[in-house]
Amino acid sequence: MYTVEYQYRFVYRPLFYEIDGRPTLTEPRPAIPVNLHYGLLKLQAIALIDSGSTYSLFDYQIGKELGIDVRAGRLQRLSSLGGLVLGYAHLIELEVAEGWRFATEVLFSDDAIPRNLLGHHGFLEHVAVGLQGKAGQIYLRPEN
Amino acid sequence: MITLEKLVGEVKQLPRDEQKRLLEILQQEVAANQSAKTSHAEQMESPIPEPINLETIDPELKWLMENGWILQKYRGEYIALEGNELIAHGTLGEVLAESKRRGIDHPFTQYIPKTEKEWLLGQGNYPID
Repeated sequence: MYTVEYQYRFVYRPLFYEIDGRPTLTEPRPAIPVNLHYGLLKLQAIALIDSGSTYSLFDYQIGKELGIDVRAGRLQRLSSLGGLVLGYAHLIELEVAEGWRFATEVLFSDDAIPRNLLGHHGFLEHVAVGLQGKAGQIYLRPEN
Repeated sequence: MITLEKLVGEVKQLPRDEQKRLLEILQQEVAANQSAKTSHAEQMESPIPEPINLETIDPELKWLMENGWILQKYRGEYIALEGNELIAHGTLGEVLAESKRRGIDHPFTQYIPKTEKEWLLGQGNYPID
């Protein structure tokens, strides 16, 4: 028997997308609101916890609104379910909950993307995650 | 003979509450058909989820489901919603600025991709060099 204690709890939420030109909702998914901090600027975004993603990836326009010169970052080419994506690495601070904020490197996309993603680099390397899909619960704690 | 186009045209003439009822009936039909096709063992391992009840989700998601026209009209743009009101469309900066002007600090925002395939951009990513 293994026991892990978590400090924070969120709930799953359905995500909006499109099938054959029609509006559609996914079944509820583990997506959470996070605040991205860069310098004195802060922006809130909903991001999907995606254990199938190597990198945490945010939309280009979020980076731009934070005052980041997105394309000045280190270029990382990515393959994804939707095709090739170019990402640029930048150091930001990610606030997952009030009082829980850490510096981390994430990628910002070269062009707009509809979903922000919390993958291994940038998020899962810093955060322990417990998922209860049936109950729609997300449990998190810092992983130091 | 009933055609899909004719049926859709007639459905569009129904009052909104009857359209919602029809949607619920169709979702129940789909769930029932899936259930009938799935073996008992498969159901034990992968229970079929309940259809999402539009009345219990966030009002912004409900609005998006009821206003699919935005998928064509605002491709390549962000939209900002607050409750069941479309606040703005444009770049993220533009929709956030208009929302703030109206006193909305954290609007619901969604980028509408230029093509359907782009909804999956970035997901399941891995480095290729």
